[in-house]
Amino acid sequence: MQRRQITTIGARGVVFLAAVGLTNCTAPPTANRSRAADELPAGRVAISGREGRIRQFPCEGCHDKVDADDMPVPDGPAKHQSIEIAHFSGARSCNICHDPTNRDRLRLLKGSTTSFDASHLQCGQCHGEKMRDWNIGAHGKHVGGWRGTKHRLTCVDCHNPHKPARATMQAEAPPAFPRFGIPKGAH
Amino acid sequence: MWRRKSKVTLHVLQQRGREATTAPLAGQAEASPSCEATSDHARSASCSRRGFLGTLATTAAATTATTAAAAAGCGTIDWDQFFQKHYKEMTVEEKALVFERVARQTKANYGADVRVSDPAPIEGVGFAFCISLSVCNGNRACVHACVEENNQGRDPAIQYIKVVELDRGSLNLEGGDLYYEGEVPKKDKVYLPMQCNQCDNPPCVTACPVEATWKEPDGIVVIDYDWCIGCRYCMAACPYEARRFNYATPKLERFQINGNQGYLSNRIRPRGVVEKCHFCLHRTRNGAYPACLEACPTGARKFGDLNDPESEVAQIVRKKRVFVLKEELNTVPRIYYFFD
Repeated sequence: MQRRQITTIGARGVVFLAAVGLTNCTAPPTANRSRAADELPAGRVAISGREGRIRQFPCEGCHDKVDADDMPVPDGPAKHQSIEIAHFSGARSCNICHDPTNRDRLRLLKGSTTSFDASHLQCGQCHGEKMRDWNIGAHGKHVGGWRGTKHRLTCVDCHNPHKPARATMQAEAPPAFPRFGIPKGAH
Repeated sequence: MWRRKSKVTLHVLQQRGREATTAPLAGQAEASPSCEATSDHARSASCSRRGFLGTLATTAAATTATTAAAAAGCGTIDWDQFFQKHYKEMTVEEKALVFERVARQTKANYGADVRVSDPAPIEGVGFAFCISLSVCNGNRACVHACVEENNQGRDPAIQYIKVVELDRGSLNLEGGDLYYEGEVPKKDKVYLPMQCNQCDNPPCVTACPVEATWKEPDGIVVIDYDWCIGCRYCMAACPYEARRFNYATPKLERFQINGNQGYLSNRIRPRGVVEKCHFCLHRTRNGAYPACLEACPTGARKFGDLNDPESEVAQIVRKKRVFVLKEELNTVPRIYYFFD
């Protein structure tokens, strides 16, 4: 009895799988995600701009006259001595991230460029896992309010792109130790 | 049984009080013959229900002479406060009068002009916190921002948030350290901020014998500081040690007082009542983030409406591996922790 039942279900399963397979084969390919959806996290989200806050932006203001392609990183370019690189240790050239033909743009691995305002797209090329967390709001500081449009800071608001590791900081004052308490390890 | 009995007692007391003094309820407290102080003084030096009950216990035989007993034990009495109804039974007008009284008392006692309000819970919203333990570096900015926002007493200091320093790879809270100092984050340490979890099944609310604490529709567990009798049953019941007791009248300088006050949240508490984190409801019900989140320099804290599937917290709870503290107690907390 039991055996027959299994056989029956198995036969139904085979028919079902075949039907699903056929449907999938004949279905049209799913539409590509829109470009807007790629650039911004889903929902009502506004991200902070960057270009307006870079001193001496646009970069092309100087770089249309001056150019220093492939400057070795340890020496650094003469005009940007303050830049300290502690990121992507294999990098030998600024042009991995910066577009040599238009210094106002950032270079993406797929060949296209993006603006400084959408620099998270560049970070997300390598840090896809963090990008995924940032998209759903699990990574990054939230500002503004919880209702309506969400204002999200981008990677470069908290991390220096040339030296992204966050420094340690001084902890604020601890609570008062209980009057009759015994410190850890003292008993 | 104890709890039920005590509720009845309070109710009866209130009924008697109302019958005995209807005139002061109509805002004529200054004219009360048993209260001989000037009107301003009578307003400022208030006598709480708790103090009254204490007096009443010592003169239990004379329970019928409620007015006389109160006057003998307290000297000056704010009758409006004394015969105040339970907060949930008040009308909008009565609440407005109470807010006005609280503002007046704050002015008299601390010299600060404050605005007291109580924003209603937003329909359909359920607040929740998500805290990333990979990102939190234990700098305690949240702790001190909370103290400033919520008018906690500075001496003895009351803090709603505790940051526990734990060994990496361990979540044994008993092995944690609350008193660490210096540069953070330390090597091989994890920092876990703890505050009221606003449980959906709150043991503190069940423990309260006088219904001075209850759960609001948006998930926040609130306390009516005028109704609390200071028995501290809720503190014993809370498995997260989230509640704090005002052993002394909170000490605050005038410049330290936050003027944006909520009746159920950050108004200055009297002595002898319990207080705790309330998700900054005077801010969050108006759409803002809580003060601890705004102060956090690392972005470890996420706050929002758990009922909105597009909100950050809902997505984190859905997509990340989150955990709550002491899940086995079935308290159903609203603070979710996660590593990323």
